[in-house]
Amino acid sequence: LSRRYELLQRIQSNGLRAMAYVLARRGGDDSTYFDCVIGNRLTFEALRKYKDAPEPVIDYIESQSLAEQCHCRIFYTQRSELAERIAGFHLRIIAQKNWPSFLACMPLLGERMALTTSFCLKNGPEQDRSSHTTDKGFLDEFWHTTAPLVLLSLYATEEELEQACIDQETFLSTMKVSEGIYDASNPERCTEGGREAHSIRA
Amino acid sequence: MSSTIFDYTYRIHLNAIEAMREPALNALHARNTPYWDAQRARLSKLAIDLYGRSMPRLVRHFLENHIKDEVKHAAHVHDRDPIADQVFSLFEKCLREHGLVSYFSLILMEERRALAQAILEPDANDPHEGPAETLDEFYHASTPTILIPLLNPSIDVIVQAVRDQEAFFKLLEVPVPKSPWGPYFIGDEEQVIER
Repeated sequence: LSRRYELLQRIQSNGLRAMAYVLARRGGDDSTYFDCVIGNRLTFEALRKYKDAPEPVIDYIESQSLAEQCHCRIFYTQRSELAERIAGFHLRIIAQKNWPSFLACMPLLGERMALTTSFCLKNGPEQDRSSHTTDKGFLDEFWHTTAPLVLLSLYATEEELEQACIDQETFLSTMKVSEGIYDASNPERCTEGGREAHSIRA
Repeated sequence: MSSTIFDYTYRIHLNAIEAMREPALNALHARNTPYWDAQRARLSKLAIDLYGRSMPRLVRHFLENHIKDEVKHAAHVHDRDPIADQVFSLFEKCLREHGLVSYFSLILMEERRALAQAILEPDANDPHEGPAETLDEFYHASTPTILIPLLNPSIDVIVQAVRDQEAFFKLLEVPVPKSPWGPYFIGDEEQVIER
């Protein structure tokens, strides 16, 4: 049991590491185009491939697919070569690996990077390129970046979790996300880059 | 894993997402302040005091990180908030009487509500307004989803956790959601570009 949860914790930490990387750069390249070619296209592919996945996993991917169709229509943005390359990575995962690798890499890494970008864009001049700066987009994206943890906890085998970690780390390496950028065991972590204690009203 | 356990575990997750949107988001005009963070630090310390000897290492690790983060967030100037006192009195009762699964189920709601307030209702005094604190809050608002299954709850324990979440909705004076997030969100399209 504990090995499974060590792997789940690693999947969770990899996702946080990807988010910290985006925060450190004050945003990424996420746009509505990413929802179309990554979210929308890949969830269709995943549904085609993972017909034998547990029913709640299929329900989740179907729901994510509906959300992505909605996000894809919120704003108009230009084609992104980066989005196409990332979609290519995830398509290879879908072709070669089982659903836990797909959930670990797409919603639990890529979607987390998109969510973090929306934190950086929100209320700024570029907010209308990311569907996740809207209330609904934010809530959907939070759901996509957390619900798969429950599904992996309950349905993935130890071997599948092991493979999912390896695939995540390949993605992080491809995206040049440095190691140890969000280390939950580092006691100084919460003080890094944070704001000083303050009160505007005081 | 029985499908009943899965259903309740997923329900806990969905209830916690419901806490991120109206009517729960701004219920009772209760806004997260550093005082709320201080209370969360106090309760996670209490959780270690009560159950530290028997809890799995990853659970303890999370609680220790949670305390450190919340102490940092609580360093900002703040006043006592009577609604926070009611909320955390409920949390403390559930932690003492029902254990860690109930506590994590409630923490998921509270942390997610605080994260959503920081993102959707920005306020200069919000301790989670900075990017690093936003990420801390995401960590607190997501990690318990894997810690609850790790605690391997019985049906009785997990049903109690859902009841405790419902008690939190009632305390906030909002209806317990009947059609949770997830597959049922269709129809919300009119909210798409509301900010």
